[in-house]
Amino acid sequence: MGFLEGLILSFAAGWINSYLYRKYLRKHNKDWIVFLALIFLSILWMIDSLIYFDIINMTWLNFLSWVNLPSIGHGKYFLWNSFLIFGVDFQINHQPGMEVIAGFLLISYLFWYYFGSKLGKVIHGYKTYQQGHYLIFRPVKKFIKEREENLNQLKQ
Amino acid sequence: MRKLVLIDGAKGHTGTFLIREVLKSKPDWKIIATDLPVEKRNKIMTKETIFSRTFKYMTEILENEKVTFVSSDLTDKESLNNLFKERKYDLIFHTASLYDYFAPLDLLRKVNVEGIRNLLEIVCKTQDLEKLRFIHWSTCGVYGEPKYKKDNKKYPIPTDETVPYNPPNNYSVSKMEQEMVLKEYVNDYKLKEVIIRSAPIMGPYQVYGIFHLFQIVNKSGFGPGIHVYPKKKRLAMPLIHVKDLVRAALFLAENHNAIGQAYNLVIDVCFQEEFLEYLADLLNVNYFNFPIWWPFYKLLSKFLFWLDSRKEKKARKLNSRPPLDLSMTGYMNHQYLFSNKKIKDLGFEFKFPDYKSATKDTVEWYLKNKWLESEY
Repeated sequence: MGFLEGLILSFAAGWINSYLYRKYLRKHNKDWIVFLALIFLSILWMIDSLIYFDIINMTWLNFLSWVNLPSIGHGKYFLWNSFLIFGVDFQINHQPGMEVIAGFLLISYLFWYYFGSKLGKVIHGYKTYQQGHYLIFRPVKKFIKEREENLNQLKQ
Repeated sequence: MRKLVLIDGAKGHTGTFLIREVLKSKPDWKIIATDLPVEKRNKIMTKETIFSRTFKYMTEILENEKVTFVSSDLTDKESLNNLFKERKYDLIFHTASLYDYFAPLDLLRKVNVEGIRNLLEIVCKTQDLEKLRFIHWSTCGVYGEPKYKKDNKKYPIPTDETVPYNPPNNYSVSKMEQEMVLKEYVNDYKLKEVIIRSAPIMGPYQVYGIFHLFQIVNKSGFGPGIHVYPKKKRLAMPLIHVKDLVRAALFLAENHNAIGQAYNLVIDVCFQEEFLEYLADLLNVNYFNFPIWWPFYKLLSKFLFWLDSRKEKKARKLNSRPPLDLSMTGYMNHQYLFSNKKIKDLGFEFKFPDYKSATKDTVEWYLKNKWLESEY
C-alpha cells in the first residue's frame, strides 16, 4: 500500500468509522470514535513505517508478473509508487530529501481520516437517531417499509 | 354570558386547542364538538401517522363535562341533522378541513368544498342568522405568491388581506373554493361570518406541516443555513402558534367590527435563515452558513422538487405516502410575506408574536414529550 493509497484508505476509514459510530457504537461509549481512529491510524502508521525501513520485505509481491520491486530500497519504492499492485508503476525512486515529504504524507493520514470522518458525519449524521444528508436521498421504499412496520407493530 | 358554540374538526389539532381555550377562558359556554366517526377519520387522516402512530392530539379534552361530542360527517348531509336538531348556536367555529397536500383534488373538494356547502345549507335553514356568527378557518395559501409592492430599497412589503386569490396547490385551491362558497351564503342569507387566514401552524401536538421541517432538521442533524443573495430575495417564513390562532378566533368571534372581514393570522415577519438558525440552535444540531445567489437557489429548489416528485410518484405506486409531500417542497422558492396589521389594529395581542417565542415553546414541548428525538 503506497502513500496515496494510504491517504484514500484513511479518508474512507474515517467515513466508515463515523457511520459505524453513529449506528452502533455511540450508544455504548461516546469515546469509541477516538479509540477507533487511534487503533486504525496506529496500525497504518506502523505498517507503513515498517515497510519504509524495509523491515517488512515487500519483494514477495514480485510473484505478480507486473510488479518488479528492487531488492534494495524495495519498501520506499513500494510506498512512493502507489497502485503498483494494480499495475500502475510511476517509477519514482527515493531521493535524498524525500524523507520530509514522506513524513508529511504519513502525518497527513490523520487529516485525511478527519476529513473522511467529517464527511461521514454530514452524510450519515452523528447522533444515534440521525440520518444526516442521506435523508434527502433515502429511497422512499425504505421509508414506506419502516412506516408500515411501525403501524403494524402498534396494531398488534 | 352563556353561549352555545359548535366546533367542528374537534378531534383535529386546532379543534382540540380551540376547545381547550374555550374551556379555559369562557367557563360558561357550552360546547358541542363534532368530528368524523373514528373509522372514517382514521381512513382519511393518514397524514397523522406519517412519522408515528403514537402521536396523538389532545382528544381526551372531549371527555370534559362541558363538552358534548356528536359525530358527524360534513360530506353526509343526514349526519348533520343531529347537530342542529333543537339547537340554536351563537357561534360556529368551522375548523374542519382536510389539510393534506398528498390528497387528490377530488377528495379535497369533496371534504372541504362540498363539506362547507352541506354545513351552510343546514345552518341557514335551521339557525337564527341574526345572532349566529360563523368563524371560518382558511389559509394564507389562498393568496399564493402575490405581486408584492416594494419599498425604497426594493424590498417586498408584506401584503394585506385584499390580495386576489392565486392558490399554488390543490389544498389551497380547495380552501379558496371554500371561501367562495361561504361568500355565496353570506350574500344570499346575510350570514355573519369572519374568515381566518392562517399561516402554517406550529405548536404542541402538531404532526403535519411545520413539524416536517422540525423532523428534517432533527433527523438530518444539520440546520441548512441558506442565505439567499441579493438580500431583497431572501424568503420569509410565515408561521402562527396554535395558541395564538385559537385566541384570535375567540377574539374575532366576539368583536363586532370583525364581521364580514378576513384576517391574516401570522407572526411578525421573519426570514427562513433566521428561523432555521434558531431551530438548529434549539435542537442542538450543527448549523452552517451557505450563501447562495438567487438563480442558483431556484435551481437547487427545482432539483429537490424533481427528486421529491419521483418519491411521491413511487409512493403513490406503492399505495402509500412519502415522508414529505410535494407541495411542501414547492414552497421552497415561494415568497410568502403576509401582514398581521389588520388584526393588531383591531386590538389583538399575540402571546407568541415572533418566531423565537413560538418556536421555543413548540420545540421544547416536542423534546420533552419525545416527539423529537434527543440523546438527553
